[in-house]
Amino acid sequence: MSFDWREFLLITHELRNDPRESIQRTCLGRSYYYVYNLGLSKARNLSCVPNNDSGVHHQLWSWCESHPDQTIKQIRIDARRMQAMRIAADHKDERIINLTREVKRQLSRAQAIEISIAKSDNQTPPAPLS
Amino acid sequence: MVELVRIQESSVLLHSLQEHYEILDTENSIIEFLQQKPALLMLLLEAVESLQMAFGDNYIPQLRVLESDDGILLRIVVQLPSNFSGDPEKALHAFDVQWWLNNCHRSDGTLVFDYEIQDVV
Repeated sequence: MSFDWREFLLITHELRNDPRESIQRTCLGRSYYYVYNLGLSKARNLSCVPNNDSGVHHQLWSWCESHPDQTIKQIRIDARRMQAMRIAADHKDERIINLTREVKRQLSRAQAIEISIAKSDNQTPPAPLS
Repeated sequence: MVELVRIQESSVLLHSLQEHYEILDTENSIIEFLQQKPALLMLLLEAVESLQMAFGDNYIPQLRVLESDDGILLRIVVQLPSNFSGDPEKALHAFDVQWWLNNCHRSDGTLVFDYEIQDVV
């Protein structure tokens, strides 16, 4: 059985109040990867087939931003914001301002994106995480 | 001669950017990046008015290059005080709707606009 990428969102939600910086940074990264895989699946359903050799993230979000559908463009905009936080969390050792707040914002953006994608697919969005 | 022109162009480029943005990385990394993607400079300058409309004109956006195994992003962040009077999410949404959604296709996937709220001192 294939892995359900939403597990990344659920674990981020579960750990969102853990004060350890390593956990908070991990939450920023995993929630982005949930959205990345969600977006990749949506794009493939719309016949976008990124070249797997390099830069799949860039190919995916560039495709979204050139799409005529405003919902898909907004997904790109929010996903890129999440990706920027993921890069800061995984590649930069400098302090992230208001880290706990950023994790919650990352969660909020991920949920907004999954709702947008579900609606654009005429599916019922997942229940909000409480 | 070509090198001299390149240096002069870089200087003009940097001056234009510094009028509206605080550059957090080494100037060379920003200049090198924008030399590869010159259309981004115009986009960055165009964005200033919409950022000011959304967040007010008291905040100078910060600009930095984020490089990773996923590629390169140019991240622009409006630094807001902890007592920012408005709703920053609404302000960001207004920026998206009024300008960014209609222009993001010009950024070659590389620009990211966001805000941060400074720590309470």
